Amino acid sequence: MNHVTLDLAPAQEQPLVIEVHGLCNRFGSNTVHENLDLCVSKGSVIALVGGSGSGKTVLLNNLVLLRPPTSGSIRLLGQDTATLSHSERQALQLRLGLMFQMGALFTSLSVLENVCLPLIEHTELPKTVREELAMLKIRLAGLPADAAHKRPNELSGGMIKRSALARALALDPEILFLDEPTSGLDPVGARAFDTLVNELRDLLGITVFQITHDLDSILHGVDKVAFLARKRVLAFAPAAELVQSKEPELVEYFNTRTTQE
Amino acid sequence: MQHKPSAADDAATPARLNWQAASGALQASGDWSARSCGELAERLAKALASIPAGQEGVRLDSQQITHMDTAGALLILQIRDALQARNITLDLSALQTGQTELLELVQRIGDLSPPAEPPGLNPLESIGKSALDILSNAYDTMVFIGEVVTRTIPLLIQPWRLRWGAIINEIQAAGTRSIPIVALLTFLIGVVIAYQSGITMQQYGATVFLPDMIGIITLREMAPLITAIVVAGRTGSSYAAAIGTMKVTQEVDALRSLAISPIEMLIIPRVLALSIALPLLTVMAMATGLYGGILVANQIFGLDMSVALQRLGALTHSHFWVGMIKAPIFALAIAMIGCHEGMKVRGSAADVGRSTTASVVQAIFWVIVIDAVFAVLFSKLSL
Repeated sequence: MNHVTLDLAPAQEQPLVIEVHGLCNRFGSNTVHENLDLCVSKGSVIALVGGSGSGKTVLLNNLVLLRPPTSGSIRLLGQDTATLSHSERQALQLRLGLMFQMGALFTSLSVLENVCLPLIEHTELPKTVREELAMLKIRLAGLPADAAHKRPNELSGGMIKRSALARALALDPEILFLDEPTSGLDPVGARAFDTLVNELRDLLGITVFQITHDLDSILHGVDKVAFLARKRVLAFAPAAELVQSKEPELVEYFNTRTTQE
Repeated sequence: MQHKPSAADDAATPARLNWQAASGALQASGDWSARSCGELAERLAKALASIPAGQEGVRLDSQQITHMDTAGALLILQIRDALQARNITLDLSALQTGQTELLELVQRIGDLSPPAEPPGLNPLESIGKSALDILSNAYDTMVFIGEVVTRTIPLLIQPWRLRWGAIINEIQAAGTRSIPIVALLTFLIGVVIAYQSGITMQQYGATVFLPDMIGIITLREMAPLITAIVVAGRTGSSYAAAIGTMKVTQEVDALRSLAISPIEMLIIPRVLALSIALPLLTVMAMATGLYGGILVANQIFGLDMSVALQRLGALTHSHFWVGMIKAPIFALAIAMIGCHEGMKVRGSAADVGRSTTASVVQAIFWVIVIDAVFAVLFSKLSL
C-alpha cells in the first residue's frame, strides 16, 4: 500500500492516535474486556474483528466517547479522555468521525441536511460553502448528486451507508470510526468502499478504525487487524500474519471463513 | 514546517489571506480547516479586493498554512475561480504535495453545487392532493375500524384466545397508574363547582339544593369528561408513541412476517384494556368529585352532612348510568385513535411526534363531540 502522507517522511515513526491501556468493561457480573491494550498509529487503517459478543461495539463506544469504560485509560490524539473538561471533550469529539452500523441518519432531514448539520453547528462557513462541502463529501462517499435531497426512508441500504459516511466525514475528522461499513453492500460496492477509505486515508491523513466481518476487507483493505478474544486484543498484526497464527480462536475464525469463500 | 494536526488545533489561528504587492503573491496562513476558515470564507470577496485589477498572475504562497482539509481546499478553488472571473490566474504550483492532492480530490468531483430541490406542487395540485388525502384518510380510518371490529368479535366469542396478560398489563398502565391524577383533578373540580355555585345559591337561601347540583353535574358530565380527557392525554398519546416507534423500528413488520397480526397483538389488548379501565376510573372520579363538592357544602356553606347525603341519595339513578354509559364509548374512541395514529407512522422520528400530538388532539375532540351527541340524545329521551 503506497502510503502518502502530507509532510512526514514515510520512514519516520508515526505518532500514536489511539492508546488504550488496561481497559476493563463490566456489565454487572459480565466482564466484556479485561486489561485490554491497543495502540494505533496515525494514518493506518485498522480492522477490529472478533466473534459475536466479543465486545467490538462496546470498545468502539469507549473510543468515540459515547460510553466511559469501567476502568483503564484511553488516550485519543494525545489527550487522556478521562480528564477532559466538557469543552475539551466536545472539541475532541469533533476530531472523531463515527459512522453508525445502521446509518443513524436523522430521518426528518434530507441527506444534504444531514451532512450539513455538523457544519452548521460547528463552523462559521457561509451557506454556499457549507453546501458545496457537503456535496463534496456526498460525492466522495460515492453517492450520485441527485441523492442529496432524498430523505433517509427513500434510500437503499447501501445509500444509507454512504450517506452516513458522508456525514462522518463532514468535519474532516482525524480518526474515522466505522461500524461494519461494508455489511449490506454488494461485493463491488464493498471493494469500492475499501478503496475509498484507503484513498481518504492517503489524501486526508485520516486514521481509520473499523469493525468489520468482511473477509475481503480484512485481508486486502486494511493495514492491521486487531483480533478481539479472551476479553482482550489477542492479536494485532497485518492480516497475512494472523492467517498463519496458531492461536485456536484465530485458526477457527479464519479457517471457517476462508472455506466459506 | 508543521502540518501535523495537533492538540493545539483547538485554539488554532483562523485562516488568513494577505496580498503581498511587492512579490505579487497571495500569502495564506493559519489553519485552513472547516472550523477555522469560516470567517475568511464569509468575506472572501473583500480579502481579494486588495489585488489590483491590472495584475495578471498571482502566486499562492501556502508555506504558512498550518493545517488544511477539504474545506480549505474548496476555499482555494473558490479563490481561483473568483480571480479567474477578473482575468487573473492563480498560480498554485507552490502548494505542497498533500495540499495539491487535496485540491485534486476536490476538483475530481467536479460540480459541487447541490442539485435543485425537486419542485413542490402548484396551488391547484396541493388542493387536489389534500382533498385526496382527506378521502384516503377517511377510507383508512374505516378500514382500520372494520379490521379491529372483525378481529375483536371472534375473540370476544372465544375469550380464552384473548391475550389476558397483555390486557392486564395495559389495565395496570392505563388504569391503576392514572388513579392519583384523576382522583386529584376531579376532587378539585368538585370543590370548585360547589364553591362557585354555592355562593350564588346562598343568596337565595338554596344551599340545601347544592348536593343535587353537585351530584347531577359530577355524575352526568364532569367525572366522565375529565377522566376521558386525562386518559386521552396520558394513555392515548402513549399508545400512539409506542406503536409509532414500533413502526419506525420495523417491529410491526416483524410481527407481520411472523404471521402474528399486529392488530391482535398490539391493538385489541389496548382497546379492551382501556374499555375496562376507563369506566372503573370514571366510578372513582365520580366518588372523588362528589366528595370534594360535599366537603365544600358542609365546611363552607354549613350544610349538615346527613342532609347532604340524604339529598344525594334521593337523586334518580339515571344520572349515574347516563355518566357511566359514556365511559366505554370514550375509551373506544381514545384507544382506537391512539392506535390508529401509531399505525399511520411512516418511518421517521418526526412522524412519531406528529402522530402523538394528533392522537391527543383528535381524542379530546371526539370525546367532546360524543359527549355533545349524548347530551342531545338524552334530552330527547328525557333522561
